Amino acid sequence: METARYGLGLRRPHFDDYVPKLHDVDFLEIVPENFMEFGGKALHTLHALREYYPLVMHGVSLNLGGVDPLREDYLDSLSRLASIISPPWFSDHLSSSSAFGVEYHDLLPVPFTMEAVHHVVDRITYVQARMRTPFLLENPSYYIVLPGAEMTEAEFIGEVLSRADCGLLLDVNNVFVNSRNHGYAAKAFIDALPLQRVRQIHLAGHDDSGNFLIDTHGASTPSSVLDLYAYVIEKVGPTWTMIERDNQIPPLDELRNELHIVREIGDASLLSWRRAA
Amino acid sequence: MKDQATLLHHMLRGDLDADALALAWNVPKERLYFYIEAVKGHIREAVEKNYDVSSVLFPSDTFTSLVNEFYRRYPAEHYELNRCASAYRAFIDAMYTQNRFGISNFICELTQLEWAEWEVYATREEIRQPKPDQGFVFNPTLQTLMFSYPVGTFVRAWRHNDGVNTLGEPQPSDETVFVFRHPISLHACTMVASPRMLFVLKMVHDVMTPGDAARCANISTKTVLDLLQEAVDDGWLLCSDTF
Ligand SMILES: [Fe+2]
Repeated sequence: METARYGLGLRRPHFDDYVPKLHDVDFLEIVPENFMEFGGKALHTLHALREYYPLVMHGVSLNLGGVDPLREDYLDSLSRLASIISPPWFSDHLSSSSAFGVEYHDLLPVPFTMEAVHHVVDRITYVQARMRTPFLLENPSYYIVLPGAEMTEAEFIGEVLSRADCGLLLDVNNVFVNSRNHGYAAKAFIDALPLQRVRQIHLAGHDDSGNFLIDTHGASTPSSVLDLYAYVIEKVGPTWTMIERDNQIPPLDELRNELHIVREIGDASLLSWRRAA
Repeated sequence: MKDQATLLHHMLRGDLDADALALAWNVPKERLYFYIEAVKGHIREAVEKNYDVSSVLFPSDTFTSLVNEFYRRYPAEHYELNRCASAYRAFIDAMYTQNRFGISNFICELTQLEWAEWEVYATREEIRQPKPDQGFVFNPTLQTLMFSYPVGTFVRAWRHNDGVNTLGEPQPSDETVFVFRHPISLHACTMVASPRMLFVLKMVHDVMTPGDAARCANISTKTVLDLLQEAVDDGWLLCSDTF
């Protein structure tokens, strides 16, 4: 049986901080775009860390939901990076990140339609075969529902996952943020997902703009998201959980403390999962 | 799907009114504004980060107008955000030529140095230990930049000042600046080239022996060897015991 693992995102301010191996960090997640075209310190860090930690890749530019063709240069570079770190899987978002040759460096929504399902499924199928590595799809945060929706968000994600036969990277903070912004019940949304496909979980913090919540990754994981995380683990069982922190990056010790709390919640929730199982 | 992507794209590029789109799509307009500001904001952040000195030399309002114009004229082509700031140098040069935003020749040279620092940080060029029979070789990441303003001196003073800009734009004065990745620390190093460094640069470039160089410059061979060792210690010159 899979054992639960708890990890952090490898970010530039902490490149030197993970060796010798930290006993309380089970794995690291990298954003491939921050390494793919880089030599020097970034590359050196990866070569050093792959000896100590399982490394997983979590991309932001695959553009699965975009209308432009997939970028072969991007996939070449992603493959090169994968050959260095041998990740157990790689992941990206159910979003669009560029169109008409322009990169947004942000995640734009895709419509919840069958047309979009087919489009994304074709692209995941291609990418998964090309990379020869399992792919996980992340549920993204989104701030508007595009018109013409033919199904709910959970149904949309479920359709894509089953047709593409890939894993789910469940971002619990995104579920929380979306549930508030679009007025649905977070737990009901989770219940509607194909949870047997969850291979990894993201936790993060968000900000309140006053009108709506913004998925900033700029704060520690709030208790509201941790509560939802416990609910997820009770249903999913042991999986890989990591904290995504991309803004206002604190000292590593602070992140390790946060991860310690996550581990306690995760392990406690696993007891409930085992009892139920 | 394509229609919606097209409308979103035009909105993000500033060619379509977000209020009208919000009405047509029945979505809150502030959420469309959020996307517009987020996408534009990433480019601003990339410019501020990679042109950390020159960007604060503009009054804040001017800089906002400047990056908005950059965003409009140079759509981001690369998935790696920092690389989208590459075109900013050419943009600054063009704005200087058009006499806009109060851009001076000094600012043009400054942005050139700032981008060179990023290139050196990012380059995939490997720094290998030379074999004993190779003698002294240049660090392959070394960029030698010639300026008509003391750009390197300015940057050093500015950074030494914890980023507080208390300096006016300097008077013209030729300066050569070395930018390279240090072979051990892997940090990007920026050094104003001293006459000693320029002497070593020419000597290694012309493949002169220390003895020949000493004779040409009318100094001792020991002095030449000391200068070579200094360059190796700085990291822009490599020899077989660099590592
Ligand atoms: Fe995430």
